[in-house]
Amino acid sequence: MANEKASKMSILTNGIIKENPVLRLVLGTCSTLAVTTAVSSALGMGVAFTFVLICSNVMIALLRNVIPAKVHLPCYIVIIAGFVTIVQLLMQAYFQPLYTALGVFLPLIVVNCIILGRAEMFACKNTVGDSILDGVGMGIGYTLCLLLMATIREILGTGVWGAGLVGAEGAGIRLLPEGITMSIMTQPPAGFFWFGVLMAGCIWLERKLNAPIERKVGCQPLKDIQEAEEASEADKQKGEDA
Amino acid sequence: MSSFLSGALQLFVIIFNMILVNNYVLVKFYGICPFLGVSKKLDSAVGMSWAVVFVMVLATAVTFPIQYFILDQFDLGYLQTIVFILVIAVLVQFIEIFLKKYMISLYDSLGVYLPLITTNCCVLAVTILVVTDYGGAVNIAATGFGWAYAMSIVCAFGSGLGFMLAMVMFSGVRKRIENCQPPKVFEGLPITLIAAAITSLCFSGFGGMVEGMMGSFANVLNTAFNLSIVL
Amino acid sequence: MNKKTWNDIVKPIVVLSVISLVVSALLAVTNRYTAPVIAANEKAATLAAYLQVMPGVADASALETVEDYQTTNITGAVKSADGAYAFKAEEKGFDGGIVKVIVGFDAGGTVTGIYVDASTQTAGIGSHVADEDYLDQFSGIDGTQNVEMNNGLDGVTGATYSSKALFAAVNDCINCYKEVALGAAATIVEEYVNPTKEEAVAAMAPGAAALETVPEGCTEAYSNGDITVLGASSMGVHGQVPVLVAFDSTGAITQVWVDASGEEMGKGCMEPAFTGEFVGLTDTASVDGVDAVSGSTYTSDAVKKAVDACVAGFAAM
Repeated sequence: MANEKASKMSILTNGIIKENPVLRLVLGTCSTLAVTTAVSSALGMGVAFTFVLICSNVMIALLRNVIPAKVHLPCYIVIIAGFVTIVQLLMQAYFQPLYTALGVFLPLIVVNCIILGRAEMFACKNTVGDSILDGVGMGIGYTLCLLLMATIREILGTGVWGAGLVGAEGAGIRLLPEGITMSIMTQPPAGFFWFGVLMAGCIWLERKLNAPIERKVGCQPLKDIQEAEEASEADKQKGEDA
Repeated sequence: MSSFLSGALQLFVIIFNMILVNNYVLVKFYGICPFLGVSKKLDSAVGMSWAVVFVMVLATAVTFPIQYFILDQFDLGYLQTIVFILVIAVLVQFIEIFLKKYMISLYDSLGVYLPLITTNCCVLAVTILVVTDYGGAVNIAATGFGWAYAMSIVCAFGSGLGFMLAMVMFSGVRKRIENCQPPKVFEGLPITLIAAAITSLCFSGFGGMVEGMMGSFANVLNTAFNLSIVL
Repeated sequence: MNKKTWNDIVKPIVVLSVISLVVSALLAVTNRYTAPVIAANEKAATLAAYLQVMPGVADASALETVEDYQTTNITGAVKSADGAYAFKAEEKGFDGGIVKVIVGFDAGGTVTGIYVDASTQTAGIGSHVADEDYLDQFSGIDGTQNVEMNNGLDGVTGATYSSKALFAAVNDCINCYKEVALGAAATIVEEYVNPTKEEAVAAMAPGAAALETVPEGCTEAYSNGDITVLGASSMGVHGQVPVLVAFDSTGAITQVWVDASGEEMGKGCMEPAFTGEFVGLTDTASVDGVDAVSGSTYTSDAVKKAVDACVAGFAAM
């Protein structure tokens, strides 16, 4: 009994720490870089993402014995796209400012490697309950990373934290006086920069805890390409040595 | 003459815009996965880029009419995400089968990159964005469907070229990084990301080039040759 | 059918189709509930924008929609009980994107506010025409006088097309205000309708018959006894530009007809403002002295050459 409970907990924390999708599995990088200019967008994206992930995980786990392997990819895509569209419509109706802030990245949740990856790696092989836990864990891990990056970028870039969320009239909490903000922090270059720094921080933590992993940019098709690359490299080497 | 030149200049502006000012990878953040994963070697970078250009143009060519003639006519706009991604997935499957059967050499060089493109942000992004920019009943009523269609395809082509530019440049940058010795915690992906930050910084400088430079160029042509080019 | 066919071919298709149908149905239901909310949101946003430019009006219920206006490019108009107005205009800016502008006027004709939606313009460049600091220059100006860029009011540096669209839209609003509130004539941008060649000949020389001998350099000739009409053409920018010139018995030009419909920029050469310049002239030197239509030099020159040919042809008759 205790074991089972422990393993349920471990599924949950897996997504937050051990297999954090953004910093450890390096998935979903596009949205991480793009929506972290403000904490409100990051939070909105995280919530939308988690909703889609949990719902699609549930549905795929429910149908895991029904969907034949031949058409599994289109089926997953239809299910995920359906939930993404529901989120789009609900957001456009009830959270208009967030909808405009997220822009095209809201429908792009459909091709977010994390959701498709979890569907293929976890939901199609596990029960509905476990899939829900996995969805929650991954969602929390993703949202936390996004919030971390958004906090850094928003504070350094505008001096305010939580514009649109907290503070009087949504002005946010001012933490830095206006004169010393660097507006480049909310621009594309800073996205790459802080992502790199956070990842370096993660690696440093791993070394401290003595658990380093080899990081490769994550989705399965990419891994196939890289394997093919290495195979041809090895062939070339062999050819040169011979 | 003027309308032809207007059109040609407009298309040129679109390509220029998409390659430099609105570069899909370094400014808009679409297609980061292949950008970080496949840019290590120049051959794979070029191969991947051509595959992306190919799929982007074909996907736009198919989805733009679908949006206008089917989704808009029957008020099914909310099905856009689902229809587009399915069309892209099916299209890529067909391309793979077609290449495998009829153009094996092309399949050998491009085929391995196709699965990655299916679920990649950049293709879905370009199909949605051209519909926003050049589609829509008001726009098409003003410019005519044929011209809007041409502009959307040119836009997709330009975006693909921008992707290629970013990939090729970055693979050169990465080659240089290989011989560097960053701090231990930055080795691997982090230093690559920092390099990407600097590359992206270079592209920020292109903002305003189009409206300012192209606008002046059009004015010069207008006064010199008594034309009426409108951008 | 046997199990293998079912498993291999039919089942995948059936499963995929069922899932697609269920998902689509779910989406249709969601859409039914959210579409009205979304439409209401958009309406509320436009009303909010109107209120923003009419500081004297307390809330949307005090606004009354105005329907009868004819100024081109105006897409919405409201007025309040105390004579304040707001107009929404749309003009094409850079790269085909539409710039939407709402201008508010008070009862005295002063501009009380301006709201700009420049989201279709280049971010960071053309989008600056929507900045509050930039738009402040429009507050309090006299709404009964048209505005001109660089004449007391600035455009945005480096954003020529977006600024041009902004000023055009503001002028549209001012023209509509003049039409609706001050009763001035509506500024309708209409294309000049040129008569056909037959209509022109009939108008210039009623009852004219074609002449057998056509003078050299001309393409046709008609006469009704008093008025002689000669036709000629000359190469413009896109192709031949045919003209008809009517002469009275003294050889003075009474009317000129031009067909410049094939010229992209030269269409102004068809309008009476230009063709009227030739009336009363008798020789090629004075014809050449007529001012060209601004921006249509080549077409104007072609017209003058053709008129010269007619004058020479008449002289030879």
